Amino acid sequence: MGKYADHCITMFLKHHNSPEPGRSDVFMFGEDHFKGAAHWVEIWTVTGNNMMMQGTPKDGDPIIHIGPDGHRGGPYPKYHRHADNLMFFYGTDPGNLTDLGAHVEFHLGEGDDEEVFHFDEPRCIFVPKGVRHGPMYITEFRRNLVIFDLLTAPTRSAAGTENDFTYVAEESKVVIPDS
Amino acid sequence: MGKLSENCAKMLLRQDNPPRPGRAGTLIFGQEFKNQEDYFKDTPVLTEIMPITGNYMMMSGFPQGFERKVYTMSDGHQGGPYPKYNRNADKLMLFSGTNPDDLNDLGAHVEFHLGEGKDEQVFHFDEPRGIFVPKGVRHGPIYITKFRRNLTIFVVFTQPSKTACDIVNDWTYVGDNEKIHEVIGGDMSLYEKFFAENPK
Repeated sequence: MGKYADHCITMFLKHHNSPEPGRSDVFMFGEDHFKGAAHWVEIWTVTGNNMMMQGTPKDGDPIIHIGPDGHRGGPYPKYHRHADNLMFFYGTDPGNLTDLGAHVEFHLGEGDDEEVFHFDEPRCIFVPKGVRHGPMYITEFRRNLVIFDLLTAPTRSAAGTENDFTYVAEESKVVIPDS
Repeated sequence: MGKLSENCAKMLLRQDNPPRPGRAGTLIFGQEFKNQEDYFKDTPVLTEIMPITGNYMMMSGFPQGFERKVYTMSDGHQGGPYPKYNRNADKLMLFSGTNPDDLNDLGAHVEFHLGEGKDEQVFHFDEPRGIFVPKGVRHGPIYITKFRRNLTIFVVFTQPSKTACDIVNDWTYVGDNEKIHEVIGGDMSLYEKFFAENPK
């Protein structure tokens, strides 16, 4: 076999266990798929109003997913303890690359350091190592957009992802996806 | 100003002048030049996002019989449509379609050349793929044909700027006329038109 024969890699397509309106399945690539990979990458398409990392209602039960590796996850703001995270938001209208196709509200940091970004043009959010990020609300949806999510670690385990399970959803912000 | 206030960064939108058929510009994020809108001091990576809107080719050389040119870019960097080496960075190229109802449909056929001589590998695919280009390995040409639907190429370098990547062109590479025709059809004057002069 040629020395680069395995350098064209099929990305893993993660299917949602139950349909998630407003969001496609997710392509993933990292060291799990190619030994020399330096980064973990995820790509998905936003197909309608959507929210992520929004927390759970005040009197609601926490939603905790246990992954096959035992990792505890859920719809909560997150920290990556050992990796920076770059989240690229871009639109799918090649005739107007400055049109993101929706409005994004993105929360970065917490307490006095919290920033809330609002944008409807392509952006990159740089999440430094150890900084909380989320929730994210996508509204005023007009056209598909793509999120390209990159971690400066080759696997999710190496990134040291933790959830803020204490986060209470802001009910006025809850986005109801189109069914 | 809050400590994270600059962390929502606008990417540089580079639109080709003259426009390149089959590609709608490039969104770039990195650390190339201060005061440029894509400059972000803390990023460890340079990233490019390229929407592909038709048959297209990259790093394909000039056709046999054409005058080979070396372009001087606005930053003084010398470049051109030649296969490249990133002497100081790995490069990941992710090819992804735009049909959320069929994520396995890339929307076109891609032929990707990686390596050279006896080590050259030629990949053919029409489903999403990631190509890992190790540091110092020649890559290109890339030919995108049988275009049916827009696709996107995401590029990630393991350095924050092109300068740090130390990109070197293979100036000796002569284009494959048959492959070039497959991309642009029989009208070589179209090729001459958009590769005739320095991109601005």
